[in-house]
Amino acid sequence: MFQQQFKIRNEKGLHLRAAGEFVKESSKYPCDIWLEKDKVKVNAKSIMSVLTLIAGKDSKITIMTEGEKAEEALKNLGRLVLDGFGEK
Amino acid sequence: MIGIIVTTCGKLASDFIETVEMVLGKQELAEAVVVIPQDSADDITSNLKAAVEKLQRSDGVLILTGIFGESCCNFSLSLCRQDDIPLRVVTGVNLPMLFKVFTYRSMLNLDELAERACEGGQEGIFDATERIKVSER
Repeated sequence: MFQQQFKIRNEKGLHLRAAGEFVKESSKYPCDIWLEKDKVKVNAKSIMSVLTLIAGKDSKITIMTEGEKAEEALKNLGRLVLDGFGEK
Repeated sequence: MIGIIVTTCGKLASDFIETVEMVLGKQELAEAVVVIPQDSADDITSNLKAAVEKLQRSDGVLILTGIFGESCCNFSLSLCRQDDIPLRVVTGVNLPMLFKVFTYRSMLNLDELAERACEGGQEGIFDATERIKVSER
């Protein structure tokens, strides 16, 4: 299991479009991927689950990956979060 | 993969698909059938049939409609009794249902996806203000 905490940087947080970007990226990997915020852990390949975290700007989320290509998934998903999902 | 048809009275159907594609990217095997007041029964049936025809290479087609009893739903149900390709009709289409369906349609069979659509649509409806109050306690 790989895991790392990240701070949400973009103004709109993990809103619909950002969650879509996250899910599109996480769905590329065969491993299991979860997102955790405030002790709530959800399937990071389901957009509806990701949205329930209500992760706004400056909130902290933890990405957890386990299985095939888990390390690569964590690295690239973390990069996406740090990049603000391509937003300001 | 299961093909998806969204059909509604008015252009909601195409807007729904547009929103899904805005978030998840371009979707294959997905069609919108918009029904307008001027459409005759034959128009609606032939538009639905044309959409099903475009999804022939899918592993069945899930038709998502607005309200049970409206024409889009009724003519979709008529197709279920006629077409060779397996069809299921689910009413009450909303965005939570759509995202659930587009997420799982390559992993589930048609019956399972219809069930997941109903769950997703219902789970997406709640009093968000109350939900936040509970989570902040």
